[in-house]
Amino acid sequence: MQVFLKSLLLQIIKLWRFLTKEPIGISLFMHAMIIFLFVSGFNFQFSETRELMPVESISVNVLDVKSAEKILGQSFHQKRKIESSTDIAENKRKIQRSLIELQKNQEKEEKKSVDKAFSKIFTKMKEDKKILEEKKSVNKKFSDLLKNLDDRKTKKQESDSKDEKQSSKDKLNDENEAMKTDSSKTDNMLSYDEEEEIKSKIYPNWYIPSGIKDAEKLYVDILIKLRADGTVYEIKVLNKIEDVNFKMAVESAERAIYLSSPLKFSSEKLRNLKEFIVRFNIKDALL
Amino acid sequence: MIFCDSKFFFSKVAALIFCFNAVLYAKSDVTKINDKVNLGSFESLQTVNGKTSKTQFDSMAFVNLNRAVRAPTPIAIYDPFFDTSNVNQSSDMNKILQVVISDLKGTGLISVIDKQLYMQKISSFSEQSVNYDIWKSSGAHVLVLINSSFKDSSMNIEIKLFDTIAKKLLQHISFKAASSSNVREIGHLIADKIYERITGEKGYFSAKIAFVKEVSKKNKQIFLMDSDGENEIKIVVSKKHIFLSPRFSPDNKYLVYFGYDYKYSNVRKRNVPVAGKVYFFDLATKQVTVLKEPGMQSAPRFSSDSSKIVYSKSIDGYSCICTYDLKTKKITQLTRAYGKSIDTSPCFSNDDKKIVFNSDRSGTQQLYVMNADGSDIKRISFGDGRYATPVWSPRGDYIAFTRMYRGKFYIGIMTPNGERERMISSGYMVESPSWSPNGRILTYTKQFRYARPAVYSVDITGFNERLVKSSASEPSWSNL
Repeated sequence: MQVFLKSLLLQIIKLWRFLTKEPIGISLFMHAMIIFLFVSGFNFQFSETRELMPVESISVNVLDVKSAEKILGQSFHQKRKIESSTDIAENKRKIQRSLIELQKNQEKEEKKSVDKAFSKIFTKMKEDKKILEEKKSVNKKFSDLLKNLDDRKTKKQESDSKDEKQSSKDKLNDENEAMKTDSSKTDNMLSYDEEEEIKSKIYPNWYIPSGIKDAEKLYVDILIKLRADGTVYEIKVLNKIEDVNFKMAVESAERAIYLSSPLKFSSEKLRNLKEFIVRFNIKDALL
Repeated sequence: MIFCDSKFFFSKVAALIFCFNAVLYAKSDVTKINDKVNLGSFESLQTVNGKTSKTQFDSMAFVNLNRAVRAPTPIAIYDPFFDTSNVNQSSDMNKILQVVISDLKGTGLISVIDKQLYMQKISSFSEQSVNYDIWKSSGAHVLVLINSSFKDSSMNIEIKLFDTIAKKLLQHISFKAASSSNVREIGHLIADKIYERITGEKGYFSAKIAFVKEVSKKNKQIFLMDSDGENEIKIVVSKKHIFLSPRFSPDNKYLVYFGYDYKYSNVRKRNVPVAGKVYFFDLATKQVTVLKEPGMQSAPRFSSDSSKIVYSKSIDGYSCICTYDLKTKKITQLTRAYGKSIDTSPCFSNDDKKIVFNSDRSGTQQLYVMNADGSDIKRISFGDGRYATPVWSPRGDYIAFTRMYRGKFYIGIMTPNGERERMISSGYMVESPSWSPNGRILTYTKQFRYARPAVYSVDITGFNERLVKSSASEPSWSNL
């Protein structure tokens, strides 16, 4: 027995050496291992785990036997007897009917869920619309507030000046002048609509020099002076750079201004505007 | 004793913090008010090409115009004035005018108004005879007048450009055309001048394009043509060779290309192309010299000062980037092979300080930029697919390349540091882009399925793609 064991061990050692040293042996060993893994029932899960659909909870009322009998009007024993007496064919029909009913119920549930989803989307849409409207109203309120603030400021300054009138007449004159400049500053500030109106008059005539070098850095600031009828009578380039590309940008901007002359605006504020600055922003226009 | 009492101490600290915050809040409120008051004032700084400008104005309505029309500038070119006694000149001038109009229309940046819309008959080549209002109403932004006269066997050409909207003379250009120059050359020169004045960029119509004419699969010859694809001239023709990748030297003296010799193979029992060599073709003397070096050389390209060429050399299954000095005749290897990587398609930058090339050292074919001495190699392309044939723009602002992604080819551009990558053309097969001398137009090979390759051009903005020459490939622009 000992001899047999010894010889078995030697054989195993030889086999181990063959398996570890020889490349054919290693490959055989690896193959054997893979087969062993498969045989032993190693589970390879290649597919990704799917998220289960949420199932709505179903309310179940648990009744006593007696109360059930009261509701049904007959005892369970009687019912069982009746059921046993009916044919197997009828049972089959019942099963089929129940299956059809089940399918119908499922379809109804699906329809309900789809309707719910749609209703949710519609409610969200409505909410978004409401938010947008609220934002617009807030913006309007904000602009009104700003105007009110300006009015208040001017009123306050007026009241202050009245108080100071009594103290000194020279100071009063200076403050009035300052007030005038401040009011002119606020008057010249354009609202979004007014700015858009000016843009809409000029941009269709601006043939942008696209593709020129350093176009991302280029812009031209031009002071435009208008007559009462809206015709442009003077143009002044405010930022001058000695560069060929800049020169081309200036020329295209000047052409755009002259082509859009006379500038006829709808709002009164713009009609009274005598001069304004337009930045011909090549970087933004190319985006 | 007071400070030992913890409750008293903490209440004191809390009070101090409250006071500090209150002061800060008040200050911030004051600054807010000041901002509101100063909204009317404006100050801005602009820097273009190192030049700065400062805009400052106070209490003024301000509009930031961020929209524009992307359309070609409409111009009118009046019939040229010339000596009516010379009968030949009238037909020549008509041909010249046709060349000028086709050149300018082909740019996509300038549109020439139809002659039927010309409302005024201009009697003389002077500003007084131009009625700006009439030309403005016809839709022309710029009016061009051309005058030609012969003096001492050379043609004097004068061009006047008028801004019909600003009502002023933009420029008066005059130049002499040599008697040897043909009608097409003069037309291209005039178109160059007009294009330069209207767009602010140098014209490229008088430049030539070297290309490979696809006679058959095994017969590829090098030809020259005008920028509009006309007037083709044979340069290198041989039935025993395949010639590829012709490139002009920036001084327009040499044409460098590489070619394969055909030798009979006893194994394959047919003619087989063997090791490619770089050839230099002297355009003046028409002499050909070969760069004698072991291994295969390919993709040669000149430096901007025409003193060196950069090419890829392949030995033992890998390829590296090398330079060859034309004066000292010294070869320097710039890149070492990483494993058995292939570095190829090198190109100098416009200032000769950098070299862009493509390499598969990272596993896929990507673009790399290094110094001209081979140091500081940086990868610049990180998109999906493979990138090849990079070419540095003569303006220096972009690198054009070919991209292969999901079985489709693209021609794209990106900045030298790998930013703002965008594709400007795509197709079944598009490759080997080449920049026009002003860095505005890209010409490249485009091939449709089951069709022969053709040379196409496209504007840097991706608009105005047009066919230049059919049955042609690998275009390369000369310098002006």
